[in-house]
Amino acid sequence: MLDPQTVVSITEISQYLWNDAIPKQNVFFNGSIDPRKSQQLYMERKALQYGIDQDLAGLPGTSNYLYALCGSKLQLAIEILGTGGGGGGVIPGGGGNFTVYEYTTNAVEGTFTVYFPEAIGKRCVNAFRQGNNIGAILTSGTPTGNQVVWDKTTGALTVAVAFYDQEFTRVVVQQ
Amino acid sequence: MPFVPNFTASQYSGTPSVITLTDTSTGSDVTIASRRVYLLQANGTFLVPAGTTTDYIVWDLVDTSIDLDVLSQDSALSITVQWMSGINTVVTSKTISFAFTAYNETFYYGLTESQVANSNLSASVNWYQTKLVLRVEIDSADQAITFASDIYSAQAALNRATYISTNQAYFF
Repeated sequence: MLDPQTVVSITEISQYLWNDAIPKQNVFFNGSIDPRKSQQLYMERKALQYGIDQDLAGLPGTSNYLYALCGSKLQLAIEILGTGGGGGGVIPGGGGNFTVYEYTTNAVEGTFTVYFPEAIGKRCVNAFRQGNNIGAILTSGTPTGNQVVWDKTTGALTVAVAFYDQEFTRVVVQQ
Repeated sequence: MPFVPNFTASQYSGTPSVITLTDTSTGSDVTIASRRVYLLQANGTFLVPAGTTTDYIVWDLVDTSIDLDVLSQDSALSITVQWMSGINTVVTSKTISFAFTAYNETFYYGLTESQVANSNLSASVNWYQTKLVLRVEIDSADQAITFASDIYSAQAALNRATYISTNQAYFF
């Protein structure tokens, strides 16, 4: 059994997830099975938090009840909280904020790869080269056309068309 | 180091009638010889323990905290602590507003416990909506204090919450 404080955190995340999902269900699926789910999660979480603060009897039962109440958002909430043993990561999408850094360099004529040692280990969210458009940013394989391959383990950006002399190149990476 | 007055207040579920004040002041002032507490209610009167004949409560300087058995229901109070000189003039004071919600919060927790035993309860519109109103009133009281130190609005919300919990047979 998870400790009640962790359940509070999971419920807070589930509440937000339900709050996000219910309007979509209403629009795309002609209604929601439980339109008050996020409200209910808030109501019961407040009770659990008070129980924790005051060390009241019945905490395990209340905690399990709330855990179950998270329903289909439970697994994702656990993953977001970072306590899940597996499952996918969460990629910031629309509405999310994250910090990015940009790094630049000038390429050597005739080569296909430039290196950004400061960006090692980071996810590349955008790239630019002065002499060509850049299309899809791959993370493995061999690029063709205007594709590039970003290897975060070495900070290497590899292109399909060789760089010209001192070609200006830039990557934008997520911190 | 100059004397900086401060204090906290707390209340526990098992003894909701008792509020505990703790002096968290820092520094020192040799002119301070005594300490008083005023518990101002939303109706303009001062709350004191049974048997106290003054508007204030004496809080001995040797005691870091004091338990005051004064509440009969959830209340919003503006609490003033005064640090006095030997000739009973106010050296310094501090006023903080609080919403004491243990009566209703404990009742609210009990509703959730009932749902744990019988989860169908929350499917009842009466149960769910009244519990939601109770939550809103408790939160309203807390927010009136947090955002505006407004003991009048907070007390009004707590009175509405108390009406629900004391008339629970009609609502749940």
